[in-house]
Amino acid sequence: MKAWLKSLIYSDDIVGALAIFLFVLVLFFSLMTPHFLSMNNFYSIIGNIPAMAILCLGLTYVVLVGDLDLSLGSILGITAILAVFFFKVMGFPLWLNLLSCVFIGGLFGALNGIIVTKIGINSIITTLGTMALIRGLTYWIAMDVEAMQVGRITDPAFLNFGRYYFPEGSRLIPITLVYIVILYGLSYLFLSHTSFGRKIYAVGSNEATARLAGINVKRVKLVCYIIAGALSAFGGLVLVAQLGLGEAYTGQNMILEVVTAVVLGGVLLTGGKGSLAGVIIAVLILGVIRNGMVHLEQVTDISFYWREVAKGVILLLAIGLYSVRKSFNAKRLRTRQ
Amino acid sequence: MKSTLLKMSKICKSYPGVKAVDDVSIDLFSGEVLGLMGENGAGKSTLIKMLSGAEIMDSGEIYINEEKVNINSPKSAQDCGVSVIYQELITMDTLSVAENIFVGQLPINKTTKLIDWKTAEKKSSDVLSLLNSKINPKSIVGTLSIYEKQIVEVAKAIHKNAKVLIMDEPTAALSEKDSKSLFEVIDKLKSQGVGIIYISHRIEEVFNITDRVSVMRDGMFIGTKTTKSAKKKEIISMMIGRELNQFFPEIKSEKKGIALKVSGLNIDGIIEDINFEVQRGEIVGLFGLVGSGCLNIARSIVGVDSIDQGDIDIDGRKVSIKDPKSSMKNKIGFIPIDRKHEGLTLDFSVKQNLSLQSLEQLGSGFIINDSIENSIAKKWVEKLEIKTPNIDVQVKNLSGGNQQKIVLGKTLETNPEILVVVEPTRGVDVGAKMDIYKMLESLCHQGVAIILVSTDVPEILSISHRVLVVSTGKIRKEFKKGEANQQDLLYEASLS
Amino acid sequence: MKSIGFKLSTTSSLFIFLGFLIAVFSITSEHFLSPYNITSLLTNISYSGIAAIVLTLIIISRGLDISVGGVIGLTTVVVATLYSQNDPLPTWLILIIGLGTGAIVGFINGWCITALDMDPIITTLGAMAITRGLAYVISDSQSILMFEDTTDYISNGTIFYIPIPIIIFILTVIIFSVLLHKSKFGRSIYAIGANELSAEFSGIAIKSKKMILYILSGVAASISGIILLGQTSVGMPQHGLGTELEVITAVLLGGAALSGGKGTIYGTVAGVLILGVLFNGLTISGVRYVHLQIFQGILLLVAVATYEIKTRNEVAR
Repeated sequence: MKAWLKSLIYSDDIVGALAIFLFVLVLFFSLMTPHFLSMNNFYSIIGNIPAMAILCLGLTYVVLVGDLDLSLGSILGITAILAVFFFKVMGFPLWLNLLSCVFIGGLFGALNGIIVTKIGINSIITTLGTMALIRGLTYWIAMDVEAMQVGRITDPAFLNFGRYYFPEGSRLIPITLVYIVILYGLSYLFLSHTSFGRKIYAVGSNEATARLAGINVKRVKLVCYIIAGALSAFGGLVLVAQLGLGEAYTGQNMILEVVTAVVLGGVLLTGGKGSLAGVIIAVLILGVIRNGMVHLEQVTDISFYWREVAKGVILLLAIGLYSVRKSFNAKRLRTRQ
Repeated sequence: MKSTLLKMSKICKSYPGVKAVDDVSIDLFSGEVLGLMGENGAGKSTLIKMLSGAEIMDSGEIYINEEKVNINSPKSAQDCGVSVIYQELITMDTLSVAENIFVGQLPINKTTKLIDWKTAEKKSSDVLSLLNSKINPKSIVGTLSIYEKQIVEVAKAIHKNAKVLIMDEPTAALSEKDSKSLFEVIDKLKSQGVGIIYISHRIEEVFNITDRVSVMRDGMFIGTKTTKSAKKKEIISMMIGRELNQFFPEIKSEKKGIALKVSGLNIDGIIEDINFEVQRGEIVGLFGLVGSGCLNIARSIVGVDSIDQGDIDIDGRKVSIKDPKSSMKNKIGFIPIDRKHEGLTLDFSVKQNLSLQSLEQLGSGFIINDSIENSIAKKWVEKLEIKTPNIDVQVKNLSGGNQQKIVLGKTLETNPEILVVVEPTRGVDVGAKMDIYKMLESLCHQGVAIILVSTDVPEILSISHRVLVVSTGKIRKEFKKGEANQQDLLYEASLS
Repeated sequence: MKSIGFKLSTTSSLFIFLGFLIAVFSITSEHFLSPYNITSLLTNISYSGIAAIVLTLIIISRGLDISVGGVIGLTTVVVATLYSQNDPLPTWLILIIGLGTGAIVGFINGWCITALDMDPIITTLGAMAITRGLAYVISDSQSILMFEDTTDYISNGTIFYIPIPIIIFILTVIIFSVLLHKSKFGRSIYAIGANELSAEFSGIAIKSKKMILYILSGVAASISGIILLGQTSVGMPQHGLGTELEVITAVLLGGAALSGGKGTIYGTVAGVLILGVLFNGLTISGVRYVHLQIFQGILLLVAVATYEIKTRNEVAR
């Protein structure tokens, strides 16, 4: 097989290509619209990203191990209303709220993981089911449980969790950026430089071989689902703090964009390959597109809903390219029998 | 001084209806290459599966370095120092060479608890250079050539302190140059005291590289010879030396004109310049050991393998066969090698399988005419004497012989004028075998041109009117009926 | 007795469960068995049932189509938009274009899956996103009113007191059960799902058959969309949100397996009825619509788990 083709599939150069694409996009929108390239707008873009970025990180864990998790948006949603509940009704301090939510998120992740590994149901169907289940649970709790109070949180101490800036009062470094850096940084260390992290890649790359090598595949997968759930919960908390609002519908339509970003970011759906740098750049790309399209609509007549179309097209293209490469390989693998 | 590295003693393994391994004892010395030969179905792979932990033996013992070991899983086999390099490589293509070698056991820096990549890479390089390889341990395995991937797997085995290395058809996908490199690596491993079990159909190769050769046949251990002093014909006899007391019907050839002509058939790197013709009413046998290209020739005629060059003429007209459907349009029938996965739909019933290739015929509209389907099914059950409680049972519940008959019936329902049959009686009981031969005879009388691909030597010698011997992708020799015996056939097939 | 698909006993158990549900709800609520409710229930079932019937064939062939909801939304928007133009095209033409929308989406899905060998799940996921997005673009996120005789008749009219959507559903069931269980086409679909390689070697044209299925799925979704349009008198991009889950749940509940080669129309009908009765009964009992999602999720998981464990036991034997 041609060397350049092989490297196209297996190399990490996709990060470079994505960065270039991002740069081109920024250039495009800056030229086409007056207010795109401004400090204000920059923070606007950054501001919309944290929850998405954190969810993408969670999904990456599951995709790396070879599965798909469609329930992350719902986990974020139930966390959102629970966060409000814990704060308003139970009076939890922030740290306890955070701990409880993340714990519950991990629990839901474990639910996914157990159904997939122990019962053996396909991860897409499983998480499709839990997605509905958890979202339904969310609405039920929000509407029918007497003690529940959803909606606004105005307490500045809580809101600072999502809205704080370093240094205090300035508009320099948002705390959400810090979260992203820390979470992605720790994940990078974990995934690329620890034994367990490399086991995740091994399972995703070739599950049978990993099992032969003595790796406990079920346990590795379960951990990934739990991490994804926990991260989604964290993302939920950040979102509530940012918006000052936690409702039953929070996060309802996010999952498609999350999947798109992860796929665009170069994480192979079959598992075992993907870099976090790619994912974060993909998140930025989608954020820039979303923001840029709003600006573009103000200047031209192009509806910014084209971004929804664009997202779907991007997803299809990314998968399409991968499939074409895959079938190209298969044709070359002829042997004499 | 060579010590007994591995001793397999009185190994037995049976599956429902067949004794796959029957009281086999084999030993392997350290620092030697032991060839393991035998036809398909001889029991080689089953024996190896028990050594590598993929299957559990019914009875018998395994000793490594004179100590009894209990191998009941792939992991326990590895822990005992047994490693297998499979024909289908199982590398982790998205990961680096070092990661593949160290999978699950990457070295960890004691203080930071992080992976010590430097050590992993250095140790990988050490192992690789032991194997004459300069592969960069950081390379992603997916970008490597097949030979390089094999070396990675060998390196992984060595790293896990493999004492016994099993290599299954290692050169099947390698070029001559890479095969030579592999042999040099094997020499090196020998000098390290590793014992290698080398499974291959390529007699030349086995005589080149092995110190001793063990032969299995029909699940039994036949014998071991020292390679240097052994003769090829001797080994071949051990492999196929069945008594020819099986009765085969005498099938008269009634040649009635050329039905199929193949010219200059070429699949790059696989088969080269294949020319032959088949007359109506004639059975032409294609014989070749595994990896000879026989199967590729058969499959290219029926449109499964795509041809790079060459022509196929039917009744004098050039035809283009690009998929199974177009081969059917040209009245070519195909009995594939794997009835379970290619010939039958196991969940379907007898009648549903029999009618599957003739759906168009089941009535004029788009509704299936049940009575036509039933009559087709009953017809073939009767003609081929298929033993089944009724035509509605699922095919997966029938015996191998009856399943094979159903594949035959399904194909014959389309009235092919040319029939390509691959391994028609593999895994089939004696009674069913006779029925199948009878059907072939009858087809011959009717003027069907038959191409028979089989590695069952007595069968192909007795049934075919002519046998074409294939090896390394080319037709080597043609024998008319009666011109060759079993040894001749195998000898020609072993040449390259 | 057919040896492919489900043994009658499993479909029977589904219908028994259905009977049980009906019994429970008629006891707990006096309105459950009222003619009004039954008609309403059956009409709602017909809306998603049409797509479920076609999805059954796709799942039997070892494929999947998640884009149903998106096509519904897009169709309602396309039709309503065309109708609200100055000097609009004749209604029958607009409706044909509406069906064509689904057909085109189905064609693109089918092409990606057969010619490009793309994974059906991701392809139709992408199609879901694209159709949904296009619906938002075309409608500019607005709802578009459409009061029109033909669509009103289709959705709200009756023939012999039976609402037309129900008639369409019944027709779909009849046509597809003949197609799947009695026709040559149906046999080849089962063959493709049970063992694609054997099917190919038996001369079955796999790509064209799959393509037909995906196009049919798109058209079925468009029909559902038109019915919804007539019922609500408005075309909006949010139409059909969540329908894909409903439809998949019904089909899997009915016994079709994602691994292919298994499933029947009757099973899907049972699945659709069970879901419909469950939702209707719960709604009457005061459970809010959004809560029904919980039951849907549980039902999906329990059904699939049960079938999975059952198959595993069968294989082990």
